[in-house]
Amino acid sequence: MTRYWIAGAAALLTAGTVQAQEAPAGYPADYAELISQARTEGSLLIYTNLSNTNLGPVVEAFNEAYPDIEVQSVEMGPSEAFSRYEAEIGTGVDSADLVIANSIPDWIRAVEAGTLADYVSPEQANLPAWSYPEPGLYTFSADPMVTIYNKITVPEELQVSSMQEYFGNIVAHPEVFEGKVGTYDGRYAFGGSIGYAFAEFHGDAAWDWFASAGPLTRPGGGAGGMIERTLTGELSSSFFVSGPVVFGKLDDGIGQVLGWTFPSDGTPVFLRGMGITAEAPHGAAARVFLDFVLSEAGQYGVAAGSLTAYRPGVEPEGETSFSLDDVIEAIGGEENLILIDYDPEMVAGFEAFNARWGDAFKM
Amino acid sequence: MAHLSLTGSDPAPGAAPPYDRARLAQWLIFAITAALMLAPALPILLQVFVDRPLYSEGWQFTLDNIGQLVRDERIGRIALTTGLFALFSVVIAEVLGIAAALLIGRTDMPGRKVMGDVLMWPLYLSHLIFALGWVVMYGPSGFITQSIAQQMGGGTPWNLYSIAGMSIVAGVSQAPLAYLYCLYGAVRSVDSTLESAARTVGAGPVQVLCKVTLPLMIPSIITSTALNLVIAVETLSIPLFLARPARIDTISTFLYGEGIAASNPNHGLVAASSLLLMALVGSTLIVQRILLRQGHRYETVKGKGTRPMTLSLGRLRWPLAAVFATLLLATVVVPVAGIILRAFTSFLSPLVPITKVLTLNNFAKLFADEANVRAIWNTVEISLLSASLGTVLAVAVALVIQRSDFRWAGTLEALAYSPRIVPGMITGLGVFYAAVILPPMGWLRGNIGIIVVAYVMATLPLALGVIQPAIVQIGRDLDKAARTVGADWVGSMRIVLLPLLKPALLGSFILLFVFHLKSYIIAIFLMAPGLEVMGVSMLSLWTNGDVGPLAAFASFQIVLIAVLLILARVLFKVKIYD
Repeated sequence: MTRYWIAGAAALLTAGTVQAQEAPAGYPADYAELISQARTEGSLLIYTNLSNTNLGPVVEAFNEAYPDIEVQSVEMGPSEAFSRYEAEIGTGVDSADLVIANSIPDWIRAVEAGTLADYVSPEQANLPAWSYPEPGLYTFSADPMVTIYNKITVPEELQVSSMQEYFGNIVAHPEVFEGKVGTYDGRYAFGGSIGYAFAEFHGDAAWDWFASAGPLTRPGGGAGGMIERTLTGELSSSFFVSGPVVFGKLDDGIGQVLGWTFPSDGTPVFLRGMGITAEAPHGAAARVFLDFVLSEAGQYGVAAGSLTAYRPGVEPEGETSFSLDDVIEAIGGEENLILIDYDPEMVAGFEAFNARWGDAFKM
Repeated sequence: MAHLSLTGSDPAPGAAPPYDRARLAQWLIFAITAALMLAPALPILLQVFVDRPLYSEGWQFTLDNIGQLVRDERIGRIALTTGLFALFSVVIAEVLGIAAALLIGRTDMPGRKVMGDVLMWPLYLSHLIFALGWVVMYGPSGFITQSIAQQMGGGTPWNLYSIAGMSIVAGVSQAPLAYLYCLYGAVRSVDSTLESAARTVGAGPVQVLCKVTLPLMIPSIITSTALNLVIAVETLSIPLFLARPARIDTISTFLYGEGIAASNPNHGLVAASSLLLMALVGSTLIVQRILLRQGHRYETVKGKGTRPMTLSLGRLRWPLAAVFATLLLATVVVPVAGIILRAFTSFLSPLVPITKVLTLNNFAKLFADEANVRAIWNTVEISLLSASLGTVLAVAVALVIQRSDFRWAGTLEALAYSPRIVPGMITGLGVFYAAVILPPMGWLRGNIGIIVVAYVMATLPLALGVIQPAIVQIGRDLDKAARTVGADWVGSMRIVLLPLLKPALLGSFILLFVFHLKSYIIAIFLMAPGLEVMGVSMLSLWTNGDVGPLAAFASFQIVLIAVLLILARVLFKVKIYD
């Protein structure tokens, strides 16, 4: 309570410049207190693997609602976000207040190690339960994986959306696809999570596809690299490419060469985790920001940054902005959605999956 | 004489001066240098024998890290890869550098001056930029690779993502160093009477170069080989860009992966492999010393001064020039042009005409991100500070080493040159650890001070390399003259030597400034929120696959460095490496 008292006193002292801000509708009555505390803190620091293109619009929207809270974000690898936080807290340096990253094993480890502050957001009631699987762990966006084609090297009839046909085409048309198909390496955390969920969804059929088409592909690298390689013609196509990265680049006029589609018979959706750190120096500002991201306005900001809003009722406009509802509509129903969740079995069985995936793809 | 005694420099016999200003200054310089050099090394040593990251609570001593290093089956393969890569790249760099030094320095090859300038480009740019250029043009999806592949209708003509590919890129980017050492260390100073002697007994120009000039270059070759070997071992971006996609690891990518990219960094293993790396590099330099011990065998300039003569290549003039120009065009100009082209296009593909993809979007994206703008300012600020401090320290150290009777001058020299055996990433790591466990350095964390300290330390040998030769050229009579009229050591250094050293100090400052501007390896472990520097930001753009903005950033840095060098040349008449 002392902390609140100090914050309150500080708020009083600065009352001349900072006027009380009301809590958003439907939030608990004492939320205004949290806001004034956050405004006293004045800033927050985010560690994330999101680029400024993706995160920028959310921050802009946030600053419209809370102009006195400055948001700083540092871009880094998804695992680095966690290790850097550990190292900095260990050395007594102020570190991140909020982490936004898409690395399932790291989130599970962080939950186990008590790295996250156990915060219950007032927005929880408005969100699907899968989006807050563990105490303190929330979801920033739910991003679909897409298939991309080089429209010049791949004939139109081969630019299919069904993954079953896709893998069939790779085997049937080696002149177009052999050695020219990219995807994430399934032996690393990100690609492995996608492959695992896809194989769980399709069962043995998925493993048959992997075994027949896998050896003809060239997995490895990130989404940016796959897009680049597909554009230059080194690759004809790539599958399970992070949708937001593709959408973010479509504005650059690459659409004349690059075609894309949601996999119609099972679109993997990756949950981008978000959590407040246990030792956050700006804990109140981090909470206000997290709640904002989960709010309707925040989710519109998420969509504006080419990421995928998942809060029900959010319907972004614009050709490269999607909500999860849009994705579901595009693929003809929720039954075609493969939600990659924080499955403890996946983490436990990761090595076995790695080995099997490596065998199938002859890596 | 009256005013002389007023300065107090003529103490009455028997009355000891209250303190000896000169000794104090010399000890101070020694202490600062020793602290700077040892502070990062000791914590690494400690980390080797500790069971968890130094910043964790309750660590205990253990030998497990070394055991882990020995047992880790990756290490053998990584060491072999690193060794092969270092060997190939050094051979390429030396062959190119020696050939260039001979052709450009001593022959009448047409266009040699322009070619000499172009050859230097890789030295002014970082490996990161150079590797990017090669990837953009010659990588598996590179513009030229794909143009040829699609003409031939099939597989790619070469594979840059291999040990051979890496070695070529590193070799070309290190050739300027070999070139400079051979050019100034030997080619320009070889006594031409030795060559004339060979000519009189019927040797042709090429034969003279091979049989007389080349053997005399051996000390320069050994020195530049040792330096290039260290650089090959420490370079990160070339293996990271070219080898990682092919799952080839070198020690530097291994350290980067284990120490930075991993979610739970294994600091014990990182420190142990750093130690191994330093031992390897250190032994290389010891071998270099032993080889050069008999240096007098190579003495060429004695008493008499002569002007080196230009050898005529005869009929070979134009063919050699054509070969050399083509080589430079393909290995230096094309990659640099590729970066600039990529910066102004949304993508580069032989499938689409370039005019259809021209854009300024990459620059807009780059500068829209505040962190990048901050990185530019931070880098300029850090480079200014550390280039100034580095030059001041270097001149102080050099004067103590060369112009004082300080008893520990030899130790000081060894200490000052010790960063040469410490790869940059490890310097950063050491400073990071030092800031964690040594309280006085703790206050440096969280501001640019920590990067400045690391930069000053790492580049002290570089600055000494500029300043020491300049001091040698100043006759000792001058400072002795000052001493005879009563100036003490500090005074004579300040009044006599410093003014004479001005051009060298300016040269050292500009060299350090450019070096820090393009640096990225040292700062990797020292990055903190708000402390972005250009090089590290560029590295993370690469990691995230943002090639367009990265190319824009690289182009920006190229222009920045070019402007700086031209200004230095025009305004101060300083030509780096001259």
